[in-house]
Formats: sequence, C-alpha cells, structure tokens
Amino acid sequence: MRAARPWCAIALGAALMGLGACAVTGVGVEGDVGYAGVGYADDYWGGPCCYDYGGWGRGYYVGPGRGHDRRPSPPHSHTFRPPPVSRPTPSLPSRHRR
Amino acid sequence: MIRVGRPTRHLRKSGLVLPLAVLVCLYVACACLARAASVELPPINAAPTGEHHVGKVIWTDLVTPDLAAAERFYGGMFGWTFQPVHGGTGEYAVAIAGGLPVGGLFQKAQPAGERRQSAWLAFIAVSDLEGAKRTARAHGAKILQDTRNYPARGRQAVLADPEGAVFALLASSSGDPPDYLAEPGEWIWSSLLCRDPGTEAAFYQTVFGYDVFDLASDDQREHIILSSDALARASANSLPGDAAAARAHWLSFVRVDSAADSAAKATALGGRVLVEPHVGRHGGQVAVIADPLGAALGVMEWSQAQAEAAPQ
Repeated sequence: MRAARPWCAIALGAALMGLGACAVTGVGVEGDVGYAGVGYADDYWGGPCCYDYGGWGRGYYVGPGRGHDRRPSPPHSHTFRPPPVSRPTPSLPSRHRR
Repeated sequence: MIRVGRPTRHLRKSGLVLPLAVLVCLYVACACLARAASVELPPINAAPTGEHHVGKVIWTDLVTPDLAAAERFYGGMFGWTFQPVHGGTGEYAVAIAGGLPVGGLFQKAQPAGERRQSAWLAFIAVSDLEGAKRTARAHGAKILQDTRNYPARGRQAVLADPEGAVFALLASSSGDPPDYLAEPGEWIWSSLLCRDPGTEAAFYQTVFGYDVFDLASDDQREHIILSSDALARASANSLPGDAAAARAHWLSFVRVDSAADSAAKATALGGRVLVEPHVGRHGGQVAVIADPLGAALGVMEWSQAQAEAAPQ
C-alpha cells in the first residue's frame, strides 16, 4: 500500500503537467484559441483531379486591363452592382517598390 | 556541520528517485511533443506595413505532397529561395523572392487511395475575419477550415465559395502588403474561373465590398474585374473548358519577363504547359503551367511597352 502511493502521485502529476503543456501550446485545439499546427482541412485537397483548360485560346482574357478598357454598352444584366459606366476600369498599381 | 547528502539518501530510502525520474522524463517528452505539433507561421510581411487593403490577394500557399520537389521546381522557375518552418502535421517553407516572403509551400500527404489536386490557395485580405466568414456563409459559402490563429501571421479561415472554388480569408497581423507593382518572380494577378462569373462576382462583392467592372469580350465569355482602393485585384471569368466537367477554382499568376521562356523552363523542370503562351488583354503574354505535382499557376508578362500597344 505504502509503495503504491508515490506512483499514484506521480501519475496524477504527470497527467496534470501534460495537460498543462498541451493547453499552453494549443495542441488539439482548433478554432481561435492558442497556436495550432500547420494544416488545412482535408477538404482543401479540393476535390478530384484535374482542371480543364481546353477552351482557353485566343480572345479568352483573364488578366487585368490597362485602365482604358471598353465596358459593354449597354451593361450586361448582373446580380452585382456595377459602378457608373463613366468610371474607368481600374488596373494594377503603377508604383514600383525599388 | 552541513550534511549535504541527507536529502538524496532520504529520497533513495523512500523509493522516490525512480518515480521522480519518470515524472521528469514524461514532462520533457510531453513538452517536446507539444512543441513539435505546434508551429508559428511567420508574418506575411518582412516588416509591419500598417496598411489594410480588404479584398486584395495578399498571400498564396501551395499544398503539395512533395515539398522538396516543389522547391526544386519553383526555385528553378522563379529563383525563389526557401526558409523552412518545422512542426505541425506537415512541413512548411516560406518562399522568398528579392528578400521578401511571397508565399508558402506546405507538404501534406495525399489521402490514401485518392487522387486529389495539389493546388495554390489564394488568401484574400479582410479586417474582420468573423464578419467576413459570417457574410460568406450566409451567401452560400462553406467553411472548410474554421478560424485558426497564428499570432505572427494572423487569423485565417479556408472557405469554398457558392460554386466550390476554394479560397482563404486572412486578417494579417503585420498588415497587408503595400500596393506596388509586382516585380518579376512575384504574384501579380489572380483569376476566379467559374461557371457563372456574374453571380460569383456578386458573392465576392458582398463579402469584400469590391467595385465590380464588366469588360467587353469578343468571345461571349464573361471577364469581370474585382476592384478595391481603385485598383484591380482579381478577375472572375467563365470557365475556359467544358463547364459541365470543370470545377470552379482560383488561379494565380506570377509576373515573368517572358511567358514563352517560362513555359519552356517549366517543361525542362518536370512541369507541364497547360495553356500555351498567348497575348492577353493587357498586351503581354500569358501562359498556364503545372508544377511536377500538378498544381496549376499562371505566368504573366507586364510592361509599359505592351500597355501602349494593347488593344482597347
């Protein structure tokens, strides 16, 4: 009986310290408490492979304009709120870092 | 006389030495495990900027099954160097261009028995992460990864928009990168390729407050510019391929001096050319490539000379 007492104390102490260490570093904690390991949700692998760029050719544009691009007139009907037609389409920043 | 040896003898006599040793070992092991499982993602800026640009794509992370192969490819393509960050459930490295962090590479094993798409994830700046998340969810987005707080980087969450395109929200702790023209080797542009660009643009306008400009196009496909701070931030486009089979996704572009040279280099480094170099609306050449693990990205030329010659 006497021999078992220190072991019980040790086990309890170890468990408490372990929990404390984990709480401090955020292990096992999701959400906005503490730190978390690097990782993304499994969903982020993002569905089945692969992308289809088959129809990407001449006249298919994705890039920014130069600030003087034509806008459709009359404007297409959309669910978003377009700015007035008089406003020029913005482009990329022109300032250089260096 | 001071009897130094007495406490030790007492411990040994009471049988506490071994249990205490076990306790110390347990504590050290637990602390080490905890440290290994946590990681501090670095800030996205080399120095705090004090600037905020809601709606700007401010960071990109690659999720790849082979970090070493990805580093070889992107180092060879753009001259990036890499700063390792160890810990967590995978390995992470920050890509550096011209002394500045430009993105992250995160190694994660493919789910067993599944063939999934390695991809670049675009992070869009927000100031109120929870508010943006709430708005996005109320308008049809799904939360793939709820808020995580990395004190140096900021608070982030990963979402899928109403068509399923994956993107991330980031409230950066070091502010947002200033609005300079990207240098060659840096990210310059992002496009959302989707089935219904108009409806998707309305979703992103609601979440980020964008000004949305519809551009005229010659091929009846939609080309919409998402803008904030009077600057173009991204585009929303009709999917180029068979819309019935294709998935909506974000595609980001690195600025290069020559898209043709970059396409050739991608092939030489084990990647593939998905869209051959061709002239874009802005007058410069654009191409789409895939790294050796299949992650797609664009390369885009951008110069003043091309601007002057660009069609209107």
